[in-house]
Amino acid sequence: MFIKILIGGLTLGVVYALVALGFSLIYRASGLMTFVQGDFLMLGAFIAYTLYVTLKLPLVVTVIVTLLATFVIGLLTQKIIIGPLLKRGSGPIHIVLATIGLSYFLQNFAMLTWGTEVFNFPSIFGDQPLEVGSVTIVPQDVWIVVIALICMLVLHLFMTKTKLGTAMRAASQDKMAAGVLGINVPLTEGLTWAIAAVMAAIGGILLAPVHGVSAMMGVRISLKGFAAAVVGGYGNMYGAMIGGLLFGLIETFSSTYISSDSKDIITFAALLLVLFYLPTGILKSTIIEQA
Amino acid sequence: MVAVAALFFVPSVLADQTYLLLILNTIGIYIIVNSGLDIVYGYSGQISIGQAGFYAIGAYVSAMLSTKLGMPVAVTMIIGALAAAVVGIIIAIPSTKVEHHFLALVTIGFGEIVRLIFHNGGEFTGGPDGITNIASLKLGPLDFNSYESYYYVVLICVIVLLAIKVSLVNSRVGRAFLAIKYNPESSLAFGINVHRYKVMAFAVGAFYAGFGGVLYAHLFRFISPETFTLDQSVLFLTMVLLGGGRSFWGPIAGSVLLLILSEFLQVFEDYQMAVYGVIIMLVLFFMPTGVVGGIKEIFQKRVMKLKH
Repeated sequence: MFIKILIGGLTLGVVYALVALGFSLIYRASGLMTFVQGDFLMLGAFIAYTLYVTLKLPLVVTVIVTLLATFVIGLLTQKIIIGPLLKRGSGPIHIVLATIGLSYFLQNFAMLTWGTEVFNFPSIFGDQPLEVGSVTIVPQDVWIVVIALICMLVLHLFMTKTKLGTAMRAASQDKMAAGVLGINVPLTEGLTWAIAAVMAAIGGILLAPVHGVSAMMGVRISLKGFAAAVVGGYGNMYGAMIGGLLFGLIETFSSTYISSDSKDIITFAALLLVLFYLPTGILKSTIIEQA
Repeated sequence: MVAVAALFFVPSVLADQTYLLLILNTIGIYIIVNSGLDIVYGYSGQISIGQAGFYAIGAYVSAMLSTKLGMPVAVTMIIGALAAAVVGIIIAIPSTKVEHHFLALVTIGFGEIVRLIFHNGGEFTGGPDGITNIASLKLGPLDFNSYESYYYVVLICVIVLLAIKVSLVNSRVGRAFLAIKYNPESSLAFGINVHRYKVMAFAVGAFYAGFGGVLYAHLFRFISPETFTLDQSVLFLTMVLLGGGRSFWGPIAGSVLLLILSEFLQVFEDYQMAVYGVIIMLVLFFMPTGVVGGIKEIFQKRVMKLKH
């Protein structure tokens, strides 16, 4: 029982972590808070659904096209909405509202395009439980955790070992200095949003066979992912991963051992406690001063 | 003065326009909540995306006390608003050391917790179904059970609470709010107790939101957790930003415009939310300081042109 809940918690936790990573990247690069991550996740799930279920394309094609599409959507969000708003001197709170506006728009768009019901996504890795010793394990859950962890590793390697990743980190520390050194700052800013969107879309594809696909699926996950990013240490990539796992585990354990009605109350109460006692998160966050 | 007096005669003109009167009542309630939020956001610089939590506390406390325990509504209304203010103080004390996004997140978490508690409250809060047949406000022989009669109650509350806001923000306290918004360090150096004023601003905002909730409960005489979502908190903040913060007219203009807009948006049926989203973004693009600020800017440009 315990192991089963643990795996359930980890499955949910890695998806939160993927979403949280996006929040964290954006915050570190520009000190901005966004509300549209959950909708990137939802769009990823729906695009994958259309390609894989409706058009019956192979899985590899589905994944590649979905990630490319969300990459472009993330990039466009920064280029068309966020960047121009910042140029006009909008403050962080205005960006928050703009992303909320975009979020409403995308949810409505999804409802009109795909419908308001919950769509079943066929299991990719098999949902037949396996008996391993005395424990039953669903292969799908294990795959979700493994794939998400691989994605995080790839992101880590990209950010630390490649030239572009290093440029992105440099630009997030000091835009002007990075620009002087010949780093294409507008490109790194756009890339940040694109990568955030792709991370969320991966979460969406992984979650689709478990929870189904619906226009509102992003809303709840977005809030938890955001909480995970902040609790882990806002702007700290590794903190986002820890925070995501933590919230996944808190949620599954409290819903099993206490009650499923109270799981969200406990999750948010944990969030408030962490914020009050560790105002900078579990791992120290990079606080960016703003007016 | 004439305009305010004219507002008292509105019901006699619209006596049979029930729906219009309902909208006017709702606008009044939103003006109260948003003017309170303006004290928190516009004047003291704290972001709250959890006003629906205080709104819910006011509504539920007054509804439960009057309907389940039979207390007089005039008393429970005051208790409801005060309860919201007390919770505001409790939540503000640890919150004042958290800033910016973190504060936004605290208020989001708080709003969600409040909603979930009422949602899971069982028989006492009515659970997901909420509370129906809420008692109406009675003062002596008067029963304010129609939209028309209730309009006067809302109007008087709006006038009183706006008058309190004006005198508050123009007082020493109001100047302290602005000082801590623009420069907390130097206000501290000038002997302003930053912590205390932040809590105070938050409590006042919570009181206004609670008062709005109380008025809401006895207007519709039905409440359910559905009303007090994060979207409602976002709506309040959007109204303040749309109208323009740190101003008397801003929250009023924001409340009126957005409510009229949402009525107008019903024409779009399935597209409502998309159009609403686009309008939020357009306002941010073209009127970043809000409608009231935007109009002022246009006016100033005209004056400048005339001078040249």
